[in-house]
Amino acid sequence: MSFCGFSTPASKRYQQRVLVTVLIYLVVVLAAAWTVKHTHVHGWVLYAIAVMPALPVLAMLGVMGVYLQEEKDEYLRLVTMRSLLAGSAVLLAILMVNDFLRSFSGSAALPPFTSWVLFFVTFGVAQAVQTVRDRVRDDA
Amino acid sequence: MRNRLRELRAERGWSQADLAEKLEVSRQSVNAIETGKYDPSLPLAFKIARLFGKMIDNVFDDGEESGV
Repeated sequence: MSFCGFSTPASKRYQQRVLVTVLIYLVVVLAAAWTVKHTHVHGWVLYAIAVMPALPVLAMLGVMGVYLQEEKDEYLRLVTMRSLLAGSAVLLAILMVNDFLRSFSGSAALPPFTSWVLFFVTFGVAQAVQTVRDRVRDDA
Repeated sequence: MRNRLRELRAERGWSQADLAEKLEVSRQSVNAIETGKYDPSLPLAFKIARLFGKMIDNVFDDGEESGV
């Protein structure tokens, strides 16, 4: 398995680190949800528990930054940066439009988790589109 | 920028994977450079030219005439 067709040492380390952060995220988010539902925490403890699931997601962004630093292949770095740019652009555009809608027309805020899910989905789609576009034929 | 990468590679009977291995880059990079989707950095362009034993302007052509 490779990171969207990449098989460099840096991309392999990236995949391993992402897998670790995803597993940590799943454990933390389930633990946080269980704690909030079955206990009566409040005050700063509740805030701390609420923030905990965000930490592995923030770590995932850090993992992407480390990948960009470690990747020696300049073209693969460019592909990843384009994907990050696409994800950031979609995220900012949707948040901005939603902010104006909320300010001027009283529209509701986006549902929780929409922003970062959109970011990661757009990042993945951009990565996949570029990989398919640059696919190398076996006889090349 | 046009380049003669595919032609030079074919002369030596190398696949894109062979060339990628010699240049220590990915196949995607070689493919993107060959098809003109990506212009390599100066260090990589020099590395490619050295590998083929050519001057850099014998491998890459920006379509501009020399002013000298």
